[in-house]
Amino acid sequence: MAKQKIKNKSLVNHRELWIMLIPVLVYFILFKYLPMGGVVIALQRYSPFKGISGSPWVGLEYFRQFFTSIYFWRVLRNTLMIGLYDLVFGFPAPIILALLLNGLRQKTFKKVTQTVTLLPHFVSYVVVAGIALNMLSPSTGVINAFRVKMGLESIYFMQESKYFWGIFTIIRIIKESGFAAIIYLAALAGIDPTLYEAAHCDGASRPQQLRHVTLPSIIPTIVIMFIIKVGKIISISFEQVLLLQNDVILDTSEVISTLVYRRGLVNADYSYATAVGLFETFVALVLVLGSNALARRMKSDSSLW
Amino acid sequence: MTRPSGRNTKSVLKLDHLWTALILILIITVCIIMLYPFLITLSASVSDPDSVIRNQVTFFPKGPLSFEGYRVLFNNERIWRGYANTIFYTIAGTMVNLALTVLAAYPMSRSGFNGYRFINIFVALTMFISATGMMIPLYLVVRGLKLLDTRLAILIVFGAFPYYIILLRSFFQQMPEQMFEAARLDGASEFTILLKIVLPLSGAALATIGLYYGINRWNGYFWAMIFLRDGSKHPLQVVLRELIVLAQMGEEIDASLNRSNTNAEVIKYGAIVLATLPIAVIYPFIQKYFVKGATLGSVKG
Repeated sequence: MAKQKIKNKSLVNHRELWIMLIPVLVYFILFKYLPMGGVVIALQRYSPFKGISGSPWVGLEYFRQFFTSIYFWRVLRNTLMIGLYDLVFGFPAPIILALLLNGLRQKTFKKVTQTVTLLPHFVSYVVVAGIALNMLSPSTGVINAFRVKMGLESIYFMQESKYFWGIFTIIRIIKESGFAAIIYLAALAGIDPTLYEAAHCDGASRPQQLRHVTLPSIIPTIVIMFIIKVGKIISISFEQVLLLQNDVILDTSEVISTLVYRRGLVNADYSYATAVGLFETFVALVLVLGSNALARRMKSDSSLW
Repeated sequence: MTRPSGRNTKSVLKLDHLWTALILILIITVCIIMLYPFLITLSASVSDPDSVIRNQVTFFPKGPLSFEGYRVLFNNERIWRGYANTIFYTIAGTMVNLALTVLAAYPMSRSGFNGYRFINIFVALTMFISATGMMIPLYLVVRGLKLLDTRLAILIVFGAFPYYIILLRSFFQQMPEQMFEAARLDGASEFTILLKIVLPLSGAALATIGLYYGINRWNGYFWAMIFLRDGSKHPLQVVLRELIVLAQMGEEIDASLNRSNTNAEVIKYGAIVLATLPIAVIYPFIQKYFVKGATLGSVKG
C-alpha cells in the first residue's frame, strides 16, 4: 500500500493536473452545476430583481398550477405521442437502411449511397425546417404541386393539427436514419464472413442468409438500441419541434420543452417554466436510468443469445 | 458478384439476382427521397421567380436560369454579417471546445491522479440532466453573469460536452501506460506530456471530435437567438430562421391574400443553398471521421 503510494506520487503530478482542471471546473460549475442549483426557483415566486435570496418561497404552488392546467395533459400527450411515433416508425428505419446498405456488393456505390444518406444529419434544423416548410407550402410547395397535377386539392399541411406528428416523424426519419444506421453497419461488419460462406455452401439464398445469419447476429444490437431509444422517448428534439410549430397548430405541436421555452423565455414566467422543466427532467431521468440499467444487464448477460 | 459454389442450384442463383435487384431499387429510392429536397431547393433558387411563384418547379430549374435571388442575397448586409459571425463562432468556438475537452479528458485518463474519481463523476453526472430542465436556470445564470448579448456567451456557455470529454478520455486511456511513466521518470511535467506526447498522437481523435463540435457550432441557432438581442452579432442560422421559417409561416397564414413579393420565394431558396453549401462541399471529404466518431462511442459505452 505504502509502496503503491510512492509509486503513484512519482508517476503523476497531482498539482499540475489540478491546475489543468481549473478552467474545466470553472466551466462546469458556472454553466452546469449553478443552473442545477438554480432549479430551486421552481419553489419560489422568483423575480430577477429580488434574486434567489429575496424571492418569496411558495412551495409546490407552480407544480400544482402546471398539473391542474389544461396544458399538462396536452403537452404530455403531444410529447409522448411524438416520441411514440418516433419509436414505432423511426426505430426500424435505420435498421432497414443498414441492411440495404449492407446488401450492396459494389464498394464504390455503397460508399456513395452512405454519403448521401448521412448528409441530412449534418444539415441544420433551420435549413431542414426551411426546406420542409417550403415543400409543404399550399401555394408554392412541391407536394401540393403534385397533388394539384393529380387533380387533388391543395392541403394546408402546417395549418391543420392532425398532420403535425406525421410530418415531424417523416422529417426526422429522413434527417436521422443515415446517422443512426452507422451503429448497425458496424454490427453488420462484425459478422464473421465464414458464416455466410457456410450458408452459401449449404445452398442458402441471400434472403435466407438475411434471415438465418444476418438478423440473428445483430439482434443484440437492435435490442440494446431499442431500450436506449425507449429511455429517450420523452426527450424529443426540442429545436426541431420549435422550428416546425406555429400558433395555429399548438394543440398538437406544443410539447413540454416548447412550453418551457414559451412560458419561461418568451413570457418571463421563470418559476412556472422551471417547475415544468423539472418535471420533464425527473421523468426523463427515471426513463434513462431505467433503460440504461436494463441495457447494461442485457449487454453483460450475453447468454440470452 | 457470386462466389463459385458446387451446391448452388439455378433457382437460388435466380432468387439472389432478384434480391440484388430489389435492394438496388430500394436503395436508389431512399437516395432519391433524401436528395430530392436539396435538389428542388437548388433548382428553385436558380429558376425564373415567376415559375417559382406559380409552383411550376418540380424537379429541374424552370424557365431561363435566373440568379435574381442570389443577387439580392449578395447585396444583403445581414446575410454577410451572419456568415462572418458564424465563421467566427465556428472557429473560435470549436477551439474553446477542444481546449476544454482536452484539459478535462487528460486528467480524467490518469488513473493514478488523486482527483480521478471526483472529476470523472463530476463530469459524467451532468450528462443525466435534461436540457429542458436546465433551460431557464441556465438563461438566468448567463444573465446574472452579464453575458447576455455578448459574443463571449456563445463561445463559453457551451464550452464542452461531457459526452465528447468521455470519448476523448477513453481514447487517451488506450495509450500505453509505459509511455507516460517513461516521460515522468525523465522529469517531464504533465503539461509537457500532454503537449509533446499525447496530443501529437491524438490527431485523428481530435479531428473527429473537433468536426462534431464544429458542425454543432455552424448549425446552432437556439441559444444564439436567446442570448443575442443585437442583430449584428447573430450567426447565419438565426438570420436564416427569420428569413425562411418565420416568413413562411406568415405567408401560409395569408396565402390567400396573394400579395407575396415575386422575389421573396427565390431569395428563401437561395438563402438555404448558401447556408448548406459549405457543409455539403466539405462533408464528403471528412465523412470518414464522422463515421469513426459515431462508432467510437459504442466501443466503450
